Amino acid sequence: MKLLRETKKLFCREVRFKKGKKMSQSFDDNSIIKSLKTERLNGPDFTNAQKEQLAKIIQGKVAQHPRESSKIQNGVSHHFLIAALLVICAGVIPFFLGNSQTTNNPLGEAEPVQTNNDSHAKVFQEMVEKWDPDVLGGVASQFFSTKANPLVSFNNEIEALNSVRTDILSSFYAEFQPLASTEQN
Amino acid sequence: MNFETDNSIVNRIRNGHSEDFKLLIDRYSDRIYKFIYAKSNIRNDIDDILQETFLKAFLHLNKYDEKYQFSTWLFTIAYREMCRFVLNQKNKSHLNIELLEPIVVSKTEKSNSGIWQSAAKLNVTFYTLLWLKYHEELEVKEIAAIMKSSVPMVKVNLFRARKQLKKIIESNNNEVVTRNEEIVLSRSSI
Repeated sequence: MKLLRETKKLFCREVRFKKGKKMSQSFDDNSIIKSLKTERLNGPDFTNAQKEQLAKIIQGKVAQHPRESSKIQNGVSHHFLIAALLVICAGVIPFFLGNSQTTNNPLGEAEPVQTNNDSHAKVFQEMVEKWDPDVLGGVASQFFSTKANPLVSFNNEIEALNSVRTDILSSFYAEFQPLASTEQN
Repeated sequence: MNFETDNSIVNRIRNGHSEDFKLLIDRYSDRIYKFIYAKSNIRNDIDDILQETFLKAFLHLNKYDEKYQFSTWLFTIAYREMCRFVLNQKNKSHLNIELLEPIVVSKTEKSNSGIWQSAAKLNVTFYTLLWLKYHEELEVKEIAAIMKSSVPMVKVNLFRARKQLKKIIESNNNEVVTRNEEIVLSRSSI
């Protein structure tokens, strides 16, 4: 109980101290505000002659940098200018890109119709040449090694045919060699 | 007496009567001059900031939004010019300190009242806040528009500025007391 009473006393004292501190602080603050409001700067006034001089200087400087026109100053027209530039860029860049592609075939002659495999291979070849080889190289090489490259597929077919032929020949020999030997006998 | 509003003058200037800008100079140059004068110690710089403020006001008059007072807009430019000037001064001081010694306004010429002389020692933001609130007696809302800040932030910064000002005044008083003590001691020794 005694301890509780003592802590209460201490607490009350602290609150009183804080209140006092706050009051003194606010008093100081008030006095500062009062002097800020009442005291005026006693510096020299800006005289009429100085005003004239300032106006002349500004007129002189304005002649060097003419005032920006209201149309360009307006925020909306700025946005309009930016939008117009974007539209022009969007139109012009693909146009030039398209032209650069057609320069390969300036007469616009129809190219001969190619087989599926050939056309795929050519498309991929072009893509690999145009685009980043790191990105498309892996895909293209995989594609060429398995599907599109006619040479590779042809070789595979020949190999398969060879294996079939050897099978046929071996079975042929297996069947007809005994017959031939009996005939000779 | 026929008192023309700022907005009507601004509209006339916008319509090509540039010579009417002199009317705005007459109206506001004194207030802007005092605002800069209290903070800066160098006369050339005061003139430069003042000229730049009015020049920018004239060149960018089309950007002025009529929902604010013209004085608010002008003080915004002046505050920014002052910030820019302080920043340049800091950069210059890194390069060459000797360049920062041009014509200093003499002590007799610069007879600021005590509190504003102390306030000039605050940073530009705090000084501007105190000036606009207590010297120009602007609303907190207007000050927030000038400082590009929120109303609560302006109030908090005003409190901080006063607190710092109090510290400056106290340190000044301590200096005065120690100086007086030194004088008394020196006299007694004589």
